[in-house]
Amino acid sequence: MNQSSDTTFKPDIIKATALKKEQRKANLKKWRFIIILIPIMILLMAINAQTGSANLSIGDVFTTILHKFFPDTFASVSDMVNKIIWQLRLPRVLMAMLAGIGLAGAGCVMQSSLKNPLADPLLLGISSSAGFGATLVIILGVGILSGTAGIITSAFFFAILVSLVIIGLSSFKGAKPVTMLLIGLAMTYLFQSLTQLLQYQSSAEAAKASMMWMVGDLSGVEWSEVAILFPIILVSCGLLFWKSWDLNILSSGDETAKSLGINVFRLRVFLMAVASLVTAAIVSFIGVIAFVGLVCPHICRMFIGSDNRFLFPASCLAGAVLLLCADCVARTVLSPVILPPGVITGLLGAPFFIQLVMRQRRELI
Amino acid sequence: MRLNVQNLSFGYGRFPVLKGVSFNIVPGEIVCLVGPNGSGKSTLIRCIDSILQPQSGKILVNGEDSRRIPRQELARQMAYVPQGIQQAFPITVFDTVMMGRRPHSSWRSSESDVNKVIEVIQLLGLDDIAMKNCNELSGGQQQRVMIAMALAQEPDILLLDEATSALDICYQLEVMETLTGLVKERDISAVMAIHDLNIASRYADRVIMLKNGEIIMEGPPEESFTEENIIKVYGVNALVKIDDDGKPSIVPVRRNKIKPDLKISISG
Repeated sequence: MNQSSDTTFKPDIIKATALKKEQRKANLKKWRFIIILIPIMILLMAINAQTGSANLSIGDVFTTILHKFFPDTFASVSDMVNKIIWQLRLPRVLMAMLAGIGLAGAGCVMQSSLKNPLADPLLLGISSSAGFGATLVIILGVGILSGTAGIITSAFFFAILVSLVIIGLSSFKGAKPVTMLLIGLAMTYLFQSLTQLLQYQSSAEAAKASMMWMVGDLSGVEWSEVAILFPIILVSCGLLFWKSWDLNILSSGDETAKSLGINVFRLRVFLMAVASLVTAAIVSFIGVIAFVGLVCPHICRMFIGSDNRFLFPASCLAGAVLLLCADCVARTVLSPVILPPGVITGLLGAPFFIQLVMRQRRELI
Repeated sequence: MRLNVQNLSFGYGRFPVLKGVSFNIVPGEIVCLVGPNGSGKSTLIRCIDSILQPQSGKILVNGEDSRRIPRQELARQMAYVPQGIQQAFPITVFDTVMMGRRPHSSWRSSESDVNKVIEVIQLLGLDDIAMKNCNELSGGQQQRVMIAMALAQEPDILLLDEATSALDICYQLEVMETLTGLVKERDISAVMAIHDLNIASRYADRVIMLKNGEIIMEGPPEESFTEENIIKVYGVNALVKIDDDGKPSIVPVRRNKIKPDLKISISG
């Protein structure tokens, strides 16, 4: 045949080198975005540790923290400052960071694995089922199942149970994204109704307490809570980051993913289970923080694109930054009154996000 | 790589799409699947790549039942080019083609993967759009990206599902020549579902004509593409002329009023 003879392919070395350079430059730009977020996050943590009713400087904050580790080099500011920073401020700041990382990371994974830009970590019925678990203990709680620990345990138990039921039920239908979304939505309504039923029957005080619980709040965070959440977030985010390339493939269509050797069913169930675990743990400890999980991946996408190998770590850090910002505002805007940061994320985040969407030239989706 | 499809049947629900299809493919061969819409071409290709599980029958890859081969192993042997890109969130052409390296690498891509990707990007003339997002490309460009991804997989069998339908005539010929070149040079094989009978006639070593999930005719283009067979499969009257190189060229003329399978005569 005459076809094969003239198709001998000669690669263009100059163009190839240029393309390689361009690709490396593009990746470098993405890394730069991620790395810039780290000092911003640390600075915000310091600002958050500094602001409050007691007048402290950022220098005080760093000295006090370093004093704990190097007592010889860094002198303690005062015992009171020590106590304020270590007992009150730091757990709250670290919790805001962890929750931001977890929620935004889970949001990023859920959007890509369900191939839906509206997906949100609270999607699989987690907020409503955790709310139900908490309400159950607040209103009916007795014995060991009462008090803060009981509320957290019950909320976590129901959140995990319901997300497992959703993942399990949709597995019968091949774990297709739409099935998961629809069952998740139905479960959300089911548990919302159950919670309302309990609240309707209960005393006004108990109903208020259960409603207050749902609002994302960082006050009164304890070191023990941080210590439980930290390993959960660390391990889960590590697992999700490890699967970030496969997540790209998954969001390119189930057929393509299958033909590239991915077990689509197993991967999607795994990713959703890990992301749900992270979300359930966060919601159980601090209540519902809206918007962070939905919006942070989108904000990062505008800057660095949708490659999850970069988008996932960027979203995590952006989540921490957003939640720390919200907490900072929540504690200063009506000082000395402290607002719940779960409300501020929506109040501040929504206009900011709308402005970004309107200014966007490239099509995102 | 030998591929044997043995008595393959598949149906969506109770609606049968493939009814006992059997054929073999040997290395260095391009096989075109032709047939009317809904004749089972795409389904057959998806069954071969284990994207769909056939209800009965077997697919043997080098004599081994494909169901026993792990997914990732199978992905190193077969690549599938779907009808179009379905990315939920757009990523760049470069990163899309890089996904084709997934079966060969672990959780991250290596330097040699990058070189491989650049090679196929050049092979399909995607250099200038390599850093663009796939949703900013035309349908034809997207098809070339998907073909590039499949080639980055370095498979022994290429499965293409109407993968050149949106290409202009120049790129259609160029892509087909690239594919034929690769098939002969690397001694791999290609199975392609295709609507353009003239392209099939020019490049296929063998043509399989499907209708209602059954193979009607199987053979080299000059035997398959006869006026009778085209009436039988498509219900279309066509002029078939043998070109100087011995390949038939097909000009569809009009719909054959009496559809052979329906046996309904349309009278006034």
